Amino acid sequence: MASSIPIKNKVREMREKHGGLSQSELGKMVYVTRQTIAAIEQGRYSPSLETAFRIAKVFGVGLDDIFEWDDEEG
Amino acid sequence: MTFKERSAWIMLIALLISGAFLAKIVYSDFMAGTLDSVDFMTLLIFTVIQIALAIVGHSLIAAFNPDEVDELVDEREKKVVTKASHLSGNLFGFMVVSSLLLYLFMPVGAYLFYAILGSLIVSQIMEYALQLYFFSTTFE
Repeated sequence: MASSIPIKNKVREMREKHGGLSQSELGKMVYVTRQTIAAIEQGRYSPSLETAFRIAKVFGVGLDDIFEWDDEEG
Repeated sequence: MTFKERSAWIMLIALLISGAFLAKIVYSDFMAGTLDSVDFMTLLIFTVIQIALAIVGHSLIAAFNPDEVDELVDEREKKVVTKASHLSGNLFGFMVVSSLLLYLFMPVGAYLFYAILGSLIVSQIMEYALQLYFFSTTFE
């Protein structure tokens, strides 16, 4: 279990761009809890590939547009 | 806090209360030199306390959070539960072997019984405590 996850994400930014989608609403769309979305946004949890793709699909963008490898942490 | 987290809190508190009750009785009997057999009444009371607290606790959290009760366990919760279960299982195994070794030096059946029962309770406490820790910290 790493002390910090080497993947940055823009989930919160994308939520706010898409009409202020709430964590709960996004969670329901990608089949995870609101708390898991919060953990993803805070960098405390790396979603599975499937969930990451679902999130990208909700926002109509590619994976690379939301998730990015952090060279400093990795 | 998810329903799973609340459930872990309920079980942790129930185990701590019922476990403390059992530990107090067993310790008293051990110090008095009367721990030569398993007291079924004590076990029954321990079981009833544990079950009652679990039922009441889960009923309360379900009553206050009805929407969350039927939610499926998501991927993060599954990983947390699996990891906590794995680690607590290791602890349980270690404590059971220790109990068996203890029996070699203190061959009293009641001691072995309560040592293994205690191992189960402690490992379960650790499992729920680990779940709560993993839910609140960085988890991969």
